[in-house]
Amino acid sequence: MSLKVRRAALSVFISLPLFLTTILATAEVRLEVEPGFHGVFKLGQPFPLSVTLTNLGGPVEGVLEVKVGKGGPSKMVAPYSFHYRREVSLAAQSRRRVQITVDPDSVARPLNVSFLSTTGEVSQEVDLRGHFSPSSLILLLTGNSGLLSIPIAVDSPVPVISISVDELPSDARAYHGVWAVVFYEQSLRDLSSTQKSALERWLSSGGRILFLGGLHYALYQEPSIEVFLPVRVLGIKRMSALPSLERYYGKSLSSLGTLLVQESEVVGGRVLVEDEKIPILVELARGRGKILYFSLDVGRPPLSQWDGLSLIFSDLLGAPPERRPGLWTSWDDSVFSLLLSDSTFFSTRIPLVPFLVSLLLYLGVLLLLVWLWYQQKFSRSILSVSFLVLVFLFTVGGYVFFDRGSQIIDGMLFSSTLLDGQPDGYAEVQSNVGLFSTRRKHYSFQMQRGWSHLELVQPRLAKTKSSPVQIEDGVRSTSVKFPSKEWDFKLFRIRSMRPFPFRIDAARRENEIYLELTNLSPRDLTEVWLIFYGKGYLLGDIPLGSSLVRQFALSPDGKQLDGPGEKLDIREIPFNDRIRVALFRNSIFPQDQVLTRWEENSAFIIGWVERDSRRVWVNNRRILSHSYTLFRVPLPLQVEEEEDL
Amino acid sequence: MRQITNPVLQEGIHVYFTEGRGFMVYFFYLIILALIQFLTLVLPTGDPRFWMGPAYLFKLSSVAALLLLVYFSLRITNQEFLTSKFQPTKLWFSQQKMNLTRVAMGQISLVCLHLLVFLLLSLPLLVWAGAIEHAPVGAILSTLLLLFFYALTYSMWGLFALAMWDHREDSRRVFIRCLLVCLLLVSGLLYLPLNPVAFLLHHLEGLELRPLKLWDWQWDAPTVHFAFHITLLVSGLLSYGVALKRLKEGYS
Repeated sequence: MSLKVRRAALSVFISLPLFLTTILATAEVRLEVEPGFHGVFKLGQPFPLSVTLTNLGGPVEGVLEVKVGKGGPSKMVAPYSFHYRREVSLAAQSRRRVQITVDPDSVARPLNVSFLSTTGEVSQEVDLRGHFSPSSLILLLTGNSGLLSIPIAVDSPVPVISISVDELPSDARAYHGVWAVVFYEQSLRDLSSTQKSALERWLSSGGRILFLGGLHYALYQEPSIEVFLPVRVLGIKRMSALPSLERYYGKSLSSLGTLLVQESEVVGGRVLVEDEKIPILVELARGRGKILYFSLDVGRPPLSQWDGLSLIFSDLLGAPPERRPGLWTSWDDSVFSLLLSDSTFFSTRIPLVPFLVSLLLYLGVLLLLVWLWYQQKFSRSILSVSFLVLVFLFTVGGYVFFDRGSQIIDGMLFSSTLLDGQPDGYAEVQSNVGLFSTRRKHYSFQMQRGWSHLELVQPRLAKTKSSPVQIEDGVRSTSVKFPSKEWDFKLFRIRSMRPFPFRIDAARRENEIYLELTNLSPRDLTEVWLIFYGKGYLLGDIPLGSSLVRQFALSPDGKQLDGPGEKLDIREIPFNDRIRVALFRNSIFPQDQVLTRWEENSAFIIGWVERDSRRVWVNNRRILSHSYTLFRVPLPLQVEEEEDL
Repeated sequence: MRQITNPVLQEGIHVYFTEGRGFMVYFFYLIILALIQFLTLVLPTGDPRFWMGPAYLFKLSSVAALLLLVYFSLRITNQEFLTSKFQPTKLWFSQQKMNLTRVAMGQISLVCLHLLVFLLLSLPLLVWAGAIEHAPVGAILSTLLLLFFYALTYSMWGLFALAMWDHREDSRRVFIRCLLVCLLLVSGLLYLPLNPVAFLLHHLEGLELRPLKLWDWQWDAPTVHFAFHITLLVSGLLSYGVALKRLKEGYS
């Protein structure tokens, strides 16, 4: 027994220095930074920044920070910066790759990447010039990249970047500069849940995924890939003729001989081309995006050498994605000040009564001391000391009470959201956020993951550089932190794409319009109005899960309605809440702007979402939170009589 | 406890504090300051950035305290209150046979004592305003120091007037009022950072004042401001000394 103990002690004695050396070794961290996908990104769009951290020393924990310059003369606002931060822990002698999505306003300013730890700071400047592409990128994922080449060719030169699955971003924003993601004989087994959700989010916001059939059909039968595929792949088949495909593209394939085609059955989507009951080209819509499945093996001869491939790819890839500027609402210091001036927010929180009582009490006690002084009932020294004690007590007690004990809050988070809904069940969400601070300290708010755009709204007259804003992605939310002065505010604009299931069934019957609105969203919709050629018609409330049916008589010119309920000019629409009215008239639909902004569709439904799911919030009880959400869904009117509009 | 031996200081303490005749001045100061604070909280203003009283309570209170402190301290040093209760400065030299330094020390100590009492009285009000405005403690303390500094600087010229026109009360009154108006208004017109009100507000707002550029030289605003006020203090002190010396020589 004693021998065992001795041996154990000896082994510990020998291994301890080695262990301690590893633990206590000074971490030496090196950075390798690659902007975009293999060094290429689309100009003007967010892109992933891959940072490889190599630790040559002991274990270390630190923060990876990317400083991105924003604003400036190109954006005609005062410059500011976003600091994207990520906590990183590195084991001894290890290597780790971290991807952060950045969105610089100009490529002329370099990015500053640094790793800050207790042992020191390593930083590197990244020049973005020479890395950008004016056109969107096509990402190609293939497990056979060494053996085969996919001849993706379209009319204009488009960078086709071949990447591996682990290089796919975990943030949907990183896909903004991507035209399409093409999968060819690629296993998605290693696709993480965050990568999958980022891909799905990008897809639903207008992305395009293209699955190209291949010889190794088993790869297409994996559960990880089946969730994306509009077909269930059954096997492979050799086909000598594809008349439907030839007709579809107007090109003959007969010279190619036998072609390899994946045999499959459709599980969703729309079959565009099929031959011998085998789906050749299938399209599946996901939100605003599309998944296309092409069952032919384009990576192997004879099809890979066919001169008509460019035609097929042009069709499959469609037009390059266009990011609409969106229906921006007015959001600046004047609108926010106007909202804050509403007594709902602050008047009741000014400690007027306690202040007045304190003043009177202080003056009263002072007068009492003066009276006692004149009366000479107490010695002057006692009264002098009493005066000093009185001043001390009132000063300290008042400070503690008014600083912490009174009703003055530390700040207020205000968010006004416009859900710009589309018939496909998705809405472009535009949140205007303002954080008002009453103290000089660091403030932060959380926002729901999946946002696509974040912008700091600079005051119109600001000339000096604003303090940096830190952005830190968490598991469920993104944290936005910034220092603020007392009685100051910072304004942000946030955009994202979210589902908004609101169904409109509308029909025109001779001289009347029939409307059926169904609220499939998880919230009640209140104060719903139909806006028709600049006039508002009150429809009422639509509780969740219920429908509202209305009929309106249509004037001969087709631009006026007559029906039950209130009928007002769009600028005069009243709401039950003063803040809603102020928001509608000053931010969402400013009075000084003409209807053109809203005339994209001259008829639409608007209403308020009651107790909307939180998109922006604070984890601090001393910061009040107010949020308002208005939805807007266009009413398409171009369809003929008796058909759904 | 150490006895006060300086007769000038003794006389001032007796008149203002022991007899309690100076309490009315402090009462005016306190009541005006309290009223301004209350109105700041209550009255709404038109500017959209000015929508909250609390946001500007400490700044406005500090400016009010500065103006009131300078005004009242100038009047006290000028012996505008209770004039008949004080014996003329010349008598300290002729009858009491006091030397110049002792008279000057007595009068300066009395001014400092007044300023301390003013600041002590307004301390709770200013600190409450600071707490409501959520002003940093550093800003509150620096404001109190600045108030003392400005009041002392301007009071030196009140003492100068007292020594210069020992018998001519009206001349003294005109002089200190002209001095106050000139220093507060003209300084602001010439170069804004020279003005104590502008400087205090910028200091509390955390804003930078534009530097002073003269030909090829450039100085930052705080340097110019403090250089100007220290010069004013020292020149006031020297002028007061010279005026006292003249007064003493005139009656010796």
